[in-house]
Amino acid sequence: MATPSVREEILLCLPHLRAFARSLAGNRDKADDLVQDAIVLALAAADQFTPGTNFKAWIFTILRNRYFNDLRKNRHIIEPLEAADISTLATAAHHDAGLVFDEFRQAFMTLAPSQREALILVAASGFSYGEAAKVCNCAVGTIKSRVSRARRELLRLNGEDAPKAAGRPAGRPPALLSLGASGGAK
Amino acid sequence: METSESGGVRERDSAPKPKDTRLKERVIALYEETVSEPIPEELLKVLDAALRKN
Repeated sequence: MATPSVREEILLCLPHLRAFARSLAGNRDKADDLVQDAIVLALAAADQFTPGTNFKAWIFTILRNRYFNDLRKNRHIIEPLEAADISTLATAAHHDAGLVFDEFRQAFMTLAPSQREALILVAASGFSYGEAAKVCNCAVGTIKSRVSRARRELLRLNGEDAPKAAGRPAGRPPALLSLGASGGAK
Repeated sequence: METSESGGVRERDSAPKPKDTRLKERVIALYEETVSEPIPEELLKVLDAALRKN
């Protein structure tokens, strides 16, 4: 049953839903279509939400499930570009900050959707690894490895190669220590 | 290896590297770029229409 508090909850989540959707869909119009779908689906299923639990995680889950269902249905899965296709991103020497950020944005969008969502959820959306795993319906270890692969790929594309795995001491990879949900939007 | 304030010993590797800090800042900036935008009127209309329907 929809109540005024559901509206408030959705309004609070909307900016974050839009940002998450944009990181998946890649452009504003597709992302906002996705958010619209998530709103409609969430309200239709509002009585399945358990009050007192994490509403943001619940509606994020609805949105990402919708995105991946559409991908499967429409067979629109776009493989990340080969490194050679975007090698120029990492080679130019002189850029202003805006250009560097645009290059980062392009590099980010070449990641697999599963890596983009993992990175956004834990590094920017304020979810813990455990919460992100629930949103993505996978194991915590899967989220950690997706974040780690995304980190390595972004560092490579931006010309800041990640350390070789063979030279790393046993234990948690450094990437997971520094990219976790210690900061970012809540 | 180094000693933490609590007296424990931790690996030097656990300190965030500048490139990781930079990477995280860029991911957050990418996210915040959208978060800081005004919510489109269209989305608010969809929300209110869906609320009326449900």
